[in-house]
Amino acid sequence: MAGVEAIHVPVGWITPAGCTGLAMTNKEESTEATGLPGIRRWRTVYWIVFGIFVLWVGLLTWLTRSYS
Amino acid sequence: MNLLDYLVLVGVMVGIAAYGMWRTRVQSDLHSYLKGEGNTHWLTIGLSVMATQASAITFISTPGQGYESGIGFVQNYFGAPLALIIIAAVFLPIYRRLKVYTAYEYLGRRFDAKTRLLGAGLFLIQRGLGAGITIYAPAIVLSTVMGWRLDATIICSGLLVVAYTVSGGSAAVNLTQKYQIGVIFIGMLAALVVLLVKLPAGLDFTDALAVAGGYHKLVAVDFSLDPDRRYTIWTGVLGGMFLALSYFGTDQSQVQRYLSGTSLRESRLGLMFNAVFKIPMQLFILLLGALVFVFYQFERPPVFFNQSAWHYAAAHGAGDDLRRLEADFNTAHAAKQAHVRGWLAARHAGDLGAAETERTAALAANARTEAARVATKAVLRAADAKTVTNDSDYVFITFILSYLPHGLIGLLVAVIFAATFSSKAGELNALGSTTVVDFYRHVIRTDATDRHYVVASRIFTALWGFVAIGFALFANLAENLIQATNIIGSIFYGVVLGLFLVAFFLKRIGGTAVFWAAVVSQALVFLLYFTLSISYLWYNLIGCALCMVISAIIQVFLPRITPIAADKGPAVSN
Repeated sequence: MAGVEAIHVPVGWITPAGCTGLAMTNKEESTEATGLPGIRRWRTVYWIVFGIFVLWVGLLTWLTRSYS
Repeated sequence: MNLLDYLVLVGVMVGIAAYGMWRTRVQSDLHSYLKGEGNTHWLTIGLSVMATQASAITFISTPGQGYESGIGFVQNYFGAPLALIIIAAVFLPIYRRLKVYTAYEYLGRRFDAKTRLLGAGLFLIQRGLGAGITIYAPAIVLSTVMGWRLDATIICSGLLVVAYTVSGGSAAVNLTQKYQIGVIFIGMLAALVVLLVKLPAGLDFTDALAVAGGYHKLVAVDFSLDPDRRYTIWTGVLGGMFLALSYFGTDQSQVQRYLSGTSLRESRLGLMFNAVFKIPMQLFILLLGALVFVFYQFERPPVFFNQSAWHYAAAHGAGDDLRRLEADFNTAHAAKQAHVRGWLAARHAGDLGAAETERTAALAANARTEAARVATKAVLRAADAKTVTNDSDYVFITFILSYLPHGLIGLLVAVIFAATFSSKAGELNALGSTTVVDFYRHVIRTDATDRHYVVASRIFTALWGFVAIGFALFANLAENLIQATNIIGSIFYGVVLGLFLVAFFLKRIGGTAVFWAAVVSQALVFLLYFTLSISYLWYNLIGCALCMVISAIIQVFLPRITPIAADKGPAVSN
């Protein structure tokens, strides 16, 4: 659904003082296509990015140990 | 700099600004002025987010940090990928769903008007202060080494960025940032190539790393639990994550960048681009500084990199002392150079014992050069009490001006200005938007036309530009520019993040509780900052935790809150 985004209008759009209640995510947002080859879910994208972060920390730890 | 350098510099900077103004000359409604046409591709968003954060300070101060203290500062960015994942998964869908112009609009919808104004006000204070530093930082360094007038440098660069930001709004900012970051990448890569080419013959990249490591410049990860250490993996992951959550998730200068995406997907991918490339980019810049340090093992550096300050003191009665110290420095450096060459020769020969002996001797000689530098700084301070004795911000620019060929010098100075413009434009755009959307339209003129708000946005953006220029003209130089920016941010960001985390995750806490919790927390953070000596990164975590805990405690004494199932409203497509 490129270029078209589903949105939700909150009940109680102008929230009275002291009232709460905007949900964090909805089903549509969590299932939105990533558009990346072979990766359907955003959760997978996040795990890959996290893995790259761990790799960088590992590489830098190796650099520290090797050259200090 | 010669004529070719000036042609490159002026051509690049004015060319990008003029192109940005021309491409975005028609901005008729508030939506397109504040968010662009809503058709921004993920790569543009990613580069724009990166360009907004990477100010000139990044390219002046960070190599200096690499030179002076090694690459350990990279740990400061360890929290960024984690924060960006959280923002993409949690913050971003809500912002986009509610179609907010500013992050603080969300606080108004979730809590109440006073909490929205508090969040927006804290942003305006800290970003307004930071905006002055962003424009002052490159101006002071460039004017010092180039001999330009400081006030003229600040005013000329400030007015150019104000012109295209006021003219084209968010679209102009995004567009120009894309080209500016391109100039930055090309310039920094060119500097690396020149640096590697100019290393002594026979010295390969692994030798350079060995020399840098031998001087403890490659301690990238520090697992120490000592709270007094400014950069460890713990301050980076925890403090850095809270700093990045605040900055990327609640600072309007960033939120505005990724809200301009065509869809949620484009915005998310833009953030993931930064999550992947933020650490390597900072590592690259720090490593460049460490390699400049290696380069200066074989070439004699000035005893004090801010040569203007040195010459000023020499001409005002400190000449004899400074020249004596310079002779001591040169003698120690020559000895150090001989030992480094001996160290590498022994390393190549496989004689590890001799290599270690030479390395120890090189470290001892290095200690003598440092002693001469410390004594020089004392003389400079005695000659002029206002002299800033931390010269690390002058290391990289001195290398550029001394060793790069003409044309490339102009390009590297353009890199510094491009970084200034890109971050400055993002800040001004956000300051103008927040002032109009959260204060002017929300409190002062609630019923004007769209056209009126576009004009108001332009006026407020220009006013913030003039405030930043004025602040820069009268600012005092901080010890280290990049740290000064981060310290200001860390003092305010924690509490602002606390407001947002309560909004997202603590559904039974209302506006009154969180408002007073934020006020008390900010006061406590100020108090702690002036009484404790812990790493400033911890204030992000402390401010956030205080705000969340105190708001929960206050809420106990207030009437119970009934959550509204906001996401059960009708779904519509745009």
